[in-house]
Amino acid sequence: MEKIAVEICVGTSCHLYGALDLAQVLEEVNMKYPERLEIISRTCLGNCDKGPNVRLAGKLLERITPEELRNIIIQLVQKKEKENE
Amino acid sequence: MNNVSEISKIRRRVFTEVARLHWQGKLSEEIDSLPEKLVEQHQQRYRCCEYKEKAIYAERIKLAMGLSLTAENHKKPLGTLTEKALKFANDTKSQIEVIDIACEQCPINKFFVTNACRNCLVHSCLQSCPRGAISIVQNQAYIDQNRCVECGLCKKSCRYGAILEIHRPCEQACGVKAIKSGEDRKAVIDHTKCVDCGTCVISCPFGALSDRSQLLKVITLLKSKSRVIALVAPSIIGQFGQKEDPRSIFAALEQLGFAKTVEVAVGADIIAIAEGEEYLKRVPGEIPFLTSSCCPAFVKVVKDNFKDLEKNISSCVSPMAATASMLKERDPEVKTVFIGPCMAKKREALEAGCIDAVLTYEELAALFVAAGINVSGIETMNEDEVQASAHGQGFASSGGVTQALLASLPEEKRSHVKPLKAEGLLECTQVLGKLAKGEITATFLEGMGCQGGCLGGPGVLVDSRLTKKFLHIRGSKQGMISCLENSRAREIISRHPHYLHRNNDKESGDV
Repeated sequence: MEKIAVEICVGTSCHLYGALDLAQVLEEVNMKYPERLEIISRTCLGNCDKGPNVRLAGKLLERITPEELRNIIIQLVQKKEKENE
Repeated sequence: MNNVSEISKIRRRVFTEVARLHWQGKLSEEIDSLPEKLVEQHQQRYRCCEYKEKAIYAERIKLAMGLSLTAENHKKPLGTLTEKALKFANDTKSQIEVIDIACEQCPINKFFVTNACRNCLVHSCLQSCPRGAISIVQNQAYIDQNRCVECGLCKKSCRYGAILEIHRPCEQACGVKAIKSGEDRKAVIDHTKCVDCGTCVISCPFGALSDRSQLLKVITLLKSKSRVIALVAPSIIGQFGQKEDPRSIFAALEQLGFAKTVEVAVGADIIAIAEGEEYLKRVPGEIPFLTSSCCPAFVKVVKDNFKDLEKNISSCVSPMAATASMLKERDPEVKTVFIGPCMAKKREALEAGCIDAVLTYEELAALFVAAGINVSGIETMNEDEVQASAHGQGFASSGGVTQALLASLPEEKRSHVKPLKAEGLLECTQVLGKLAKGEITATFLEGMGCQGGCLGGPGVLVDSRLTKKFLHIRGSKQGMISCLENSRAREIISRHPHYLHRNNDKESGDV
């Protein structure tokens, strides 16, 4: 199955606004659904004023909270699973 | 594990924008429109209306500019205050202030009957109350708050758990009982008791308490012709997400305009040795136990509340002051900026005089963002140059001072030491009380104002459970383990410089 690309910005601005919390969510989801995500750390996604930023399957999610990110990713993973059934 | 709260995000946004304006030289022109900009940028609303939101931002901006929320500064437009802010006159030594309009007047009644009360036949609450404060009103237990003495027996007796104990988070967080409820139920800080530890700042769920920032002063220093040195606390390891490697942080500081970065762990090595010498000289002959002196909040708690134990505080200055004095001895013209997790250090710096400004990691990160510096994007080729021992760096973590002190003593003396540690001001106060009464004994007390030591300070960016690991990894990687292996520290100790000891303790300590 093709993995979903999740690019997480770990630049100073996103770090200041909670990027580490987002990284933890990604780790959790990765544990629950192994081999589904390709997590890539980025030093900047060019959207510092609206951080923290994550790019999920090419789509930029700005000012994202850990709860929102968890929901969006899990939905996407489950949707992909259904498509592959 | 980390959890950057909405309150943290608001604080950090304010720091960043204020720093950005001064960094770009637009402070006086654009500061007045900043509250509006912040409200617009941040679509989420927390308060009743946009106007209150703006008014609260204006107060946060004043504190971020280093101003006090005095009546004099209260109603003035921000633009008229920038000149005053840039004079950096410290009207008061107190660092923590209440943002009055942000305080939501939490209830002061400690015990509260909820709807889970079933008006049972037993009425154990009524029976348990020693003051007859409980009666049954409209089919429910009712507490007469004028008679209640907050003993909690009713809560314990209720089999439905229908009685709730409520705390005001600020009051509960304060280890020295410096916060009380004022006339209108808003929080009031008793500055004669407050030690500026900052625990309340991170505890208030409405962000109604904050410290004053020295960001503007640091930016002004960096823009001046002075040689400005960054003194970084050992807890900096891991704060910016680079795990145990601080090289990119040091490189970022250089990009910001600091001439050099010195690790305060060097001062910690020096102080561990000096404190060890003092221990051997004074314990148990002169005093039954010695306490650490590196944490300014702890030192102030002892001085303010345990007068009889003041002589037990080590006469050594803090590692911050030792490092700064060492640098100023070499070059008196140099400017020193301490960067750490601590708010109490801001007050210590004012009193010590050898530190020109203090920033927290939170404020430093905001400054990096304001200046367009991305620590993650920096690649450095330099080696991770070791300035201090693993034990010196260990000062950042609870238990680390004790470990360093023990290592500085001759081996045969170590087993005689009976160490004790207290972390968080509540525990510090309890332990000091017991020591004063002789209920417990120890020969060395390590006192830390924050849970987990400096790594748990109010100005950190990353949870102490993570940074503790990184601190340990970096410590174990490097050559020097014990402070005694630091030849530079030993050389300084051998010269017995006057600045290693606090003046007011000369007569009692004389070491």
